[in-house]
Amino acid sequence: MRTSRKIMAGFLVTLTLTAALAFYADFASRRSLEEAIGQESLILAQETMKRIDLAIHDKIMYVWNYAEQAWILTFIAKSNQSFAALDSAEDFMNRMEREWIAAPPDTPSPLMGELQDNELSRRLRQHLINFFVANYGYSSFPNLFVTNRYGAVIAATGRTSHYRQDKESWWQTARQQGISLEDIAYHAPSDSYGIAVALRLDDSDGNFLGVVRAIVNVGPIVKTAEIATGRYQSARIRLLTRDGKIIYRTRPYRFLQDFSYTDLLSRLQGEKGFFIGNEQNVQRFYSYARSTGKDHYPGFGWILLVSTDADEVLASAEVLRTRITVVSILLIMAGMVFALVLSRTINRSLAALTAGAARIGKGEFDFRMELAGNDEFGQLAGTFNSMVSNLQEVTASRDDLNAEIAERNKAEKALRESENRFRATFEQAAVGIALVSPRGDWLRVNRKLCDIVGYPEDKLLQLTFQDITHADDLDTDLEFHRQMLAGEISTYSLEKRYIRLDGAPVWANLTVSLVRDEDGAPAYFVTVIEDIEERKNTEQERDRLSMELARKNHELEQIIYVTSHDLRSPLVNVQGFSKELSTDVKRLLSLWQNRNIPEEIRQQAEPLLNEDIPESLQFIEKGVAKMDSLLSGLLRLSRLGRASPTLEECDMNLLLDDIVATMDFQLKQAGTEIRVDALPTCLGDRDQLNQLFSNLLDNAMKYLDPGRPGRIRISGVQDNDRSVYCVADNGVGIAREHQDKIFEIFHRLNPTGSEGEGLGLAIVNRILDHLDGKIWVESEEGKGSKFYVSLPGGTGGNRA
Amino acid sequence: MRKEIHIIIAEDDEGHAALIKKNLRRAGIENKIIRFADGQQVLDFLFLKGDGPHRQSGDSFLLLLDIRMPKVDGVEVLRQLKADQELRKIPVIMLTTTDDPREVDHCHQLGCSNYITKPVDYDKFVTAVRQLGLFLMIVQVPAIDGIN
Repeated sequence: MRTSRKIMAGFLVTLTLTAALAFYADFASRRSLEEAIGQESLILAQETMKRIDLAIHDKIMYVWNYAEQAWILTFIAKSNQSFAALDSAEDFMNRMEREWIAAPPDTPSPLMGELQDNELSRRLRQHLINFFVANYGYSSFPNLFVTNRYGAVIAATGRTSHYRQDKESWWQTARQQGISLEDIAYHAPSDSYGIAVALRLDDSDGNFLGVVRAIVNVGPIVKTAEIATGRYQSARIRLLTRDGKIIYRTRPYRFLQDFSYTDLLSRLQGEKGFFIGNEQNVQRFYSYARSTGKDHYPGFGWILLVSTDADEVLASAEVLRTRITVVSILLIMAGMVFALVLSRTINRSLAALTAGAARIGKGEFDFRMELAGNDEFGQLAGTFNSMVSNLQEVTASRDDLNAEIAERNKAEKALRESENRFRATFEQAAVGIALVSPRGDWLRVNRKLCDIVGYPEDKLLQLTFQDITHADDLDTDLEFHRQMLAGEISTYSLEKRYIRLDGAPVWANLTVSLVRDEDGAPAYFVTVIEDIEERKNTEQERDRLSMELARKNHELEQIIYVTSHDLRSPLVNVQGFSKELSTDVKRLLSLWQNRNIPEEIRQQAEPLLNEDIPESLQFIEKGVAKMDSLLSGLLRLSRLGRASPTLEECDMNLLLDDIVATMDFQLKQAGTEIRVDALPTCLGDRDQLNQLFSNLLDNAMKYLDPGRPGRIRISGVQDNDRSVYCVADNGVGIAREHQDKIFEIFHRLNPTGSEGEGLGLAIVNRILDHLDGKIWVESEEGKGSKFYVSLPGGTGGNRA
Repeated sequence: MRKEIHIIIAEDDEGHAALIKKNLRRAGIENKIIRFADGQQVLDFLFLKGDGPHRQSGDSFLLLLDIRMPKVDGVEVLRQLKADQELRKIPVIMLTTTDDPREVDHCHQLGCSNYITKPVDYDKFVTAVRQLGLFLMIVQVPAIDGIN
């Protein structure tokens, strides 16, 4: 990497780190800002909730304080006394209750009207409803009524659903515990939403007097939650019941509208908290506080939820971040420009130094560096210049020395390489190599040589080649050796045997050359030795096999020859004596005629002499003739094997003319038409070819179809270096399944219908073996056969 | 043919010998016929060796020699005869069952006077022996050992 780039990279890394730090600061400040806002907002929510709790508690206490006024207690006590005076308060109340319920909605029952208009009712209406409506525009208590200790209503500001209240659970609770509070709900008789409060009233001795019941209107109270919006425009408030029904909301809402479907509710866990969430795709800050109640008032688990737009809350943080970003970018850009300028300057100095050094390196020792300035570069230039001066002085002498050293190194290296190459070649050669002294001592041998002659190297080096050469080959070797030393020959090759350490002879091919020293005196022989044991063995085996084959062949021919010969001898006898016999029979017959032979004997003997004996003799003669023909054939066949053909170019038309001429009589007799086309010449033995084609024509004649005039045609073509002849006939043909067998010895297609010994095609085959020829047949039964003969082609053309 | 000429038949096959004899007689040749069963007997007879019969000095001979014979074959007998100064004068007719041209050549080279193939065809054989008879009639057969 170039220096300038290194500088630039350094700056870049520093600036990047600075920027990262700035962004971290931004991130951290944003987090702490969020935390601070959350806490502030949470406190606001908590305080607001407390204020609401307190306000509701106050209203409850207001009712209680009001109700415990002496005149009210007295009023109730009076009612209790009058009820106690009744025979059966129970019966009275039930009767009144029935009337109460039966009254139509707009017309109160007589008792109801009376009650609503008694003193207590009037004062309650006046003090707790009318007064507030007049002063605040609304009443905190839309509905109030009082029961005596029997549970019967004795005063009411408005209509109540029942006369008897003693069965109501709130009444029981208030009686037993002093107070009953019900969570906000809709109250039909007063058509208002509120918290229902029931309070027990006792006399000064603590005896139970009755119960006062009021609906506390929370609407105006919860409106005070608006203060929790604080300083944010986007702040929104929700006051929810424990199960998520809206009690109050800064935006339009329906009272007790269910809010529990939003996922926000699930996040409002515990007493208080704040979090960031999304509502309608806007990021908002949420903080919430749960009601803690106040004294008797339990708070009902109400939740005050305050939410604010995150953008508004974090607006100040955004401004900070933008500033940091701008400043960072400006810083980086300024830093880069500075780095660029600095690196350029350094680079220029370095480039000058480098160029100078390069010129000195090229041997320009007159060159001096020109770098002004007092910085390190200036000093370096000065030092450099003085160094060059010194260098200039020593270089001259050193150059000569270097040249010499370089030369010598090169030579040594070449020598070493050559030596290594030689050593490797020598050691790893696939043939045995040796250096041998003029006397015959092994001077140096390679591994392969040791393998071939079967000696370890140390042992071999103590011997001479004469020591381990086979006695039968030593003289030849020594003679060559002498001729080499005498300078008569410069190299020789010899196949000879060594005797291995284990005593076994091994065949090797030896190639020897002589290296002479500077004076021309023999220094050493270089001998290359190849293991030809295997080749020799193979050659010997091959020779043995071919001799064996020749012997077997000869034997076979001899057997055929002798056998045919010897078998013929007895035939001569059989033939000869059967002829003698027939002569004798004829003579006997002629003698017989002239004698007086009794008729009885004559009749018995004459058929024997005339018919039986001649017939037997005839069969014997036929048999003999047949066997003779077979033997002649065998003899001819064996003779073919023993004769070597005389190859010459043969005019096949002349040859065929000769054959046809000799067969002329037979052809004419059989009425066979024969045609010989112009034929190419071929290379063969005239006599053997004559026999070959004679046999083919004989066969063609023999197997003509007696049912139609015979036609034989001989044609030929030249095919590359072969001449192919065809002998075609229109005879009986050969069935496909027989076509392979016809060349077998003694095979006859039609043994009874034709003459011959079954040797014709065997002889043809034998001849073609000798003449490098081939024969094949195409034939269709009933149509004729075509015998093709392929022979080495001659050079001559055809006869037209 | 002069009566004093003896015909020697060297033929291991008795049948062949008998057929030859019969046919020679039938052809009217009345000369004495001596038959030997192998080449050794012929050589002994002519070279006056061994225990068997020996020729009389001054007799004239004509030899019918079968080629294939036990002990010493016809070709060897022919070779030995032709190697002998005196016996080489004896006319020799080779008899053989084969007409192998090379064998024929060989015998002629050794100096046989004639060569007859023993044909299996009886008629041919008869013809051949007749021809032999005629040949014997006209041939001049020298006496051996110079006694005529």
